[in-house]
Amino acid sequence: MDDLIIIGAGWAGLSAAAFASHLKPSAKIRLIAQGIGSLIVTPAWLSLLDSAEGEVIEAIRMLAMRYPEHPYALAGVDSLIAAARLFAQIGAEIGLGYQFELPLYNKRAFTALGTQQSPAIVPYGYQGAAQAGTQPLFIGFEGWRDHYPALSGAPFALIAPPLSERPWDLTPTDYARYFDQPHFCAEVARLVKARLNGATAVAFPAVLGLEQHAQVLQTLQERLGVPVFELPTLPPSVPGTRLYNKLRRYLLDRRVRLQIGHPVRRGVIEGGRVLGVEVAAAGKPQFFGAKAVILATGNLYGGGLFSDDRGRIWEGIFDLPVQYVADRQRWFGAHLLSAEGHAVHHFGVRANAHLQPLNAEGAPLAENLFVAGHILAHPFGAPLPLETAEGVALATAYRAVALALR
Amino acid sequence: MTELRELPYLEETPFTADHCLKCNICTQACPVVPVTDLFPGPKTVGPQAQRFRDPDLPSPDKSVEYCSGCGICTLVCPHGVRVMEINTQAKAKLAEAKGFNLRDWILGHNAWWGVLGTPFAPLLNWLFRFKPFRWLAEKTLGISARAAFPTWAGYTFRSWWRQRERQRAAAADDSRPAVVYYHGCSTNSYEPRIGKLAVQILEHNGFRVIVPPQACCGLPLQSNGLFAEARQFARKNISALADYARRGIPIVGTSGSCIMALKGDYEHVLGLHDEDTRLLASGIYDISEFLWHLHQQGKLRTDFLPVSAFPPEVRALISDAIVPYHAPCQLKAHGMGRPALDLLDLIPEMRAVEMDADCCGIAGTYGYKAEKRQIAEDVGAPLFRRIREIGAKLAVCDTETCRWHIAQMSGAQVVHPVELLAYAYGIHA
Repeated sequence: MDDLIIIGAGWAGLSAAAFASHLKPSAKIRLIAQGIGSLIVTPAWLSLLDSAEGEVIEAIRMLAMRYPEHPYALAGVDSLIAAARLFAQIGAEIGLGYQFELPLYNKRAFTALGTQQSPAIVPYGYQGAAQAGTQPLFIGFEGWRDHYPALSGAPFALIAPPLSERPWDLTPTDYARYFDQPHFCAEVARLVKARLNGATAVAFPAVLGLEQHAQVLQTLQERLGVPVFELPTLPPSVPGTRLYNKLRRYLLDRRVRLQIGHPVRRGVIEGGRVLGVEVAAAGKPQFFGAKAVILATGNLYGGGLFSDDRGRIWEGIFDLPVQYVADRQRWFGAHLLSAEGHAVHHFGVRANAHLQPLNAEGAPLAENLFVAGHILAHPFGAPLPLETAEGVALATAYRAVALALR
Repeated sequence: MTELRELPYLEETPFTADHCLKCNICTQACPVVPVTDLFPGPKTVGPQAQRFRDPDLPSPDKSVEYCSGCGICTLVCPHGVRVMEINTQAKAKLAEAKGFNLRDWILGHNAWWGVLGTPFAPLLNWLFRFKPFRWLAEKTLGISARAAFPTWAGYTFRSWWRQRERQRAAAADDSRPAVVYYHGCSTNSYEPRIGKLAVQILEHNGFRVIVPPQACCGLPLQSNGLFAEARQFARKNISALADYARRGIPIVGTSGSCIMALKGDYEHVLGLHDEDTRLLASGIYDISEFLWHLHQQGKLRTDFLPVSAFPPEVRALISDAIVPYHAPCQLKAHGMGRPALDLLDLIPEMRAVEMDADCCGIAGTYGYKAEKRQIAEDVGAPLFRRIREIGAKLAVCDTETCRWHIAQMSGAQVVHPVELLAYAYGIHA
C-alpha cells in the first residue's frame, strides 16, 4: 500500500508529488494520470495574482479574507509562501532558475501579441523581460507558422533559420532541440546581431533550448550584448516541457512511481475512508491501495470535470458534487476576451479548510481524501482562476500534502 | 469469425482519432521524432492522416512506416486517442499494399527460427557473430549488421519442462493452486533460464505450474504488418488459454511485450472483440504484476536474501551502485505501475531506480532493420549514457529485445527481474 496516491500530472499533481517527496522522503508516493498533464501547455511561469499592484502576498491575504471559500483561503497564505519557497528551491536544484523572495512583486512578461502579463515567479527564459527597455526587437523564423513576430505590433525581424530543408512543419520543440546545438545557436545569434539596429532587448519565441536552456540563453545574451527573453508560443510549450522533463527526472530519482497513460476510473471508499483507486489498465482494472489520496485532476480543461450537451457537469472519479451554474447560457460572458472572464472557469468541487472535498450534505466525503489545484471551485466574483492558477495549484498541493502525510 | 462487433462509438481504435485536439503532445513525446527527419510524428501520421484513410484506398502517408510502435504517444495523450494502435493498423495496410517483403517476413516469424535453429545452435551462434555473414545479411536482406542477436540456448524451455515433468510426475501434489506459465518464444529458445527461474519462483510460492501448448504472441508479425498471420497465432493462444482464465487459473508470463499483446493488442490492434479474447486479456499477468498482487494479499514469500548474500559474481556487478531499472514501453502500456521495481524494493540492500527514459529504441524488430538501426541507437542514447554515468554494471528490464539492445549499447549486463528475485530466493536455474 502506498502512503500517498496523487491523481493528475498537471501543476498541482506534479508539485504535490515533488513536495511530498521532500517533506517525507521515506514515503511511498505514486502519481497516476491519463496522459501528460496541462503543465506542458502552460507558459511555465507562476501566476499568483496577476492583478496585484503592490506586494503580491499582501494582496493575496486580502483576497483570502474577502473570499473565505477561495482556494487560497482554504489552503492558507502560509501554505502559499511555503510552497513557493520549496518550489523555488526545487526549481534551482533542477536548474530552471525559479526564484522566490519576499516582498514579492509581479514581474513583467510579454506575449507573442505584444501585450504584457504579470506573473509573480518566472524561470530564466522570461527574466530578461524586466530589462526590455524602450525598444525590444521581436524575432521570428522565416516560414515558421507557429510564431509570427509582426503580430506583436513592435519592431520585428524575420531571420532564415540555419537549417537544411525539412520535409515537415517544425514544432516549438523541434526548434528548441536545434537551439541545444551550439552551432545553430551561434548562427542565430550572428543573424540576429546583424538586425539589432539599436534594439534594447531581443524577444525570441520560447524555444531557446530544451536540455541546454540556461546555456543557450547565456550564449545569446553574450553574443547580442542586450537582454534576451522568451515569449510563450502555441502549445506544446517548451518552457512547460523543460519543467515537466526536469520534474519527471527529479521524481523518478526520488523513487516516486510515475504512471502516465491510464486514467483512474474510480475511487474505492469504505467506512468514510478511501482505500485506493482503480485504474483503467490493459486487460483488467488495476487497484492501487493508499493511506491517502490527493485528487488533482483539474477542471473542465484538465480533465477532472466533464460536461454534456444538457449542461450537466460532473466529477469523474469520486462523483463529487460540482459547484456550477445550471443555466448554460450563463457559463460564458458575451465576449471571448472580456475582462470579467467566464463563469465556467470558476466551476469546481467544494472543500473544507482541510482541503477535504465535500459531499452533497457539505461533509467531507472521506477523511483521507484531499483536493488540490484547479478542480477546486473558485467563488464567483473572485479574480479569474487564470490569474491565480499556479499559486492556487502550489498552495493547495502543499497544504494537501502536509495534511495527507500527517 | 467476428472481426468487429458493435462497440460504443469512439471506443473502436480508428474512431478514437476523433478525440484528437491536435495538441501535439504526442509529437513532442515521440522518441523517434527528435532523431530523424523521416518521421513527421505520431499526430501527423496517426489521428491527422486517419481522416484521409479510406478502407479501400492506399495509405496517404508512407512515413508511418517509421513509427516504431513503442506506444508512448498513446500513453501521453491526455484525451484517450489510441495513436500507436491507429498507426500500427495503418502500417499493416501499407505493408499489404507494398506486397511481400522477405526481410519483414523473416523478422516477423522469429517464432519459427527460435525452434528450428535450436539443434544448430553452435553453428548459428557462430554464424550470427561472423561479421561477413552479417554484412551479407544487411546487404541482401536489410537486416542490420550492428543489431544484437540473441544466442540459441541449444535446448528449449519446453524440452526442459517435459523432462522435469516426467521425473516429477509421481510426486505431483495437486492440491496446490495452479498457474499457467506463458513462456513466449524468446524464453523457449534463447533464454530458457528465465522460464526455469520463473517456474521455480512460482513453485516456491506454493503454486503448481502448468505449461500448456501455446503459440507465439504474434507481436513480431503484427509490428511487421502481417496481421492475418498474427491473428492466427492470436487465435491459437486464445483457444489454448482462455479456458484457464474462465476457470480462474491465472496465466503468467515473463515477457512484458508478449503479455501486452495478449492483454491489449489482440483487441485494440488486431481487432478481435470476442468474449474469449477479453477473458484471456483479463486473466493474464506479467510475472511481476502477479507476484506483487500476491504480496499485496500477504501471500508472497519474502524470505529474500540480502544483496550481500548473492553469488559473488553477481555481487561484484551490483557492488554499491544503484541498479538501473528500465520500464519498457510495452510494459508501461499495461497500466499496472512498476511491479518489478516494487518487488526489487523488497530485497534487502537492493537500490533499484527507474531510469528517466521513454524508450530504449529497439522497439521489437524495428532496430533490426538496417534503415532504422541508427534511429534505434539514437533513441536509446540518453538511457545508455545514463547507465554509463551511474557506472552500473548491471541493469534490469522486463522484455527481451530491450535487454539485448541495452546490454549491447550500454555495456551493462541486463537481466530480467526474475533473475534478481531468484538470487534473493536462493533459486538457481
